[in-house]
Amino acid sequence: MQVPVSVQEDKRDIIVHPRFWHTVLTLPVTQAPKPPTRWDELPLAALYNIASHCQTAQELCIFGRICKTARTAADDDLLWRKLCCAKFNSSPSQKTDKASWQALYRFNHRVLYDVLMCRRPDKILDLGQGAIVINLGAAAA
Amino acid sequence: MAGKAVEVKLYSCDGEDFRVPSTVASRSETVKNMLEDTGEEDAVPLPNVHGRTLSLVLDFCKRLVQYEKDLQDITEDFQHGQLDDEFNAWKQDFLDIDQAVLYELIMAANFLNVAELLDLCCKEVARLIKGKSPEEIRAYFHIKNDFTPQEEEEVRRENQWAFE
Repeated sequence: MQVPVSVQEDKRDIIVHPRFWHTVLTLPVTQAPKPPTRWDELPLAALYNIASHCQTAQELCIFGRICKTARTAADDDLLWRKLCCAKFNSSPSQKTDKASWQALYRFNHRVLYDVLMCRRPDKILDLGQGAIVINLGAAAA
Repeated sequence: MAGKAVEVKLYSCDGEDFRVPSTVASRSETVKNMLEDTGEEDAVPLPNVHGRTLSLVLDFCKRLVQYEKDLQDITEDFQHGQLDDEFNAWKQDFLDIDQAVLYELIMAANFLNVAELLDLCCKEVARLIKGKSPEEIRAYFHIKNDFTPQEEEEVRRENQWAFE
């Protein structure tokens, strides 16, 4: 009969009674150090929850750059609606059907920082046809 | 439903059993539904939750039940703030855990459907990622970047307005 391989591999020979060979065959593998916990598998519900605790557009944008599922969560328009209402005092009825709240937020942001704060007044021309002038008042307030 | 003192038995995936009042166990919607289906005498197996995590979840549920009970008992308004402060301080201590445990807690809170706990943990994650770059966040939580370089650049460009 052959000596179990696992016994041969060990540099120091050990003598094992044939009756107990089977116990050496299944030597417990030495425990590898525990790999770090990966957060890739986080459920979408949790990602939405985390995104909902982002308080600024910058935080939300950075969150959306982590990975694809985080992106899905960060693009949720309800979150942008919340930010839009909080920062620009938009009312939920103010939005036209086509543009998303994210687009509206971006528009307001540009109006506020580029045009109203007089950094780049020429940029008003860049705002394009999506410009919803009704929000100018809200952004100024 | 029987009186409030009823104890239920919960089993974690590693065979540890926990006896808790049904009011505490019912803070988990998942357990609550199971108890309604099978009755409170039967032990509830929770194959997705490890004993050490379940123990933390139940600690939270106990404290939450206690907090709500205290709220009902108060007679003066000023005590409300005091109870909130105490509960918040307790939560601070509770969250003094490493990120692997935090991850386990989120998974358990999600599976057990304990909304308050999930919210608390996710808020903590939001606090942890605040002020970090996407690369730093990925490194901290060991998250794989599944964007191609082109996609990443595209997302970055799309979001650039927020940082101008």
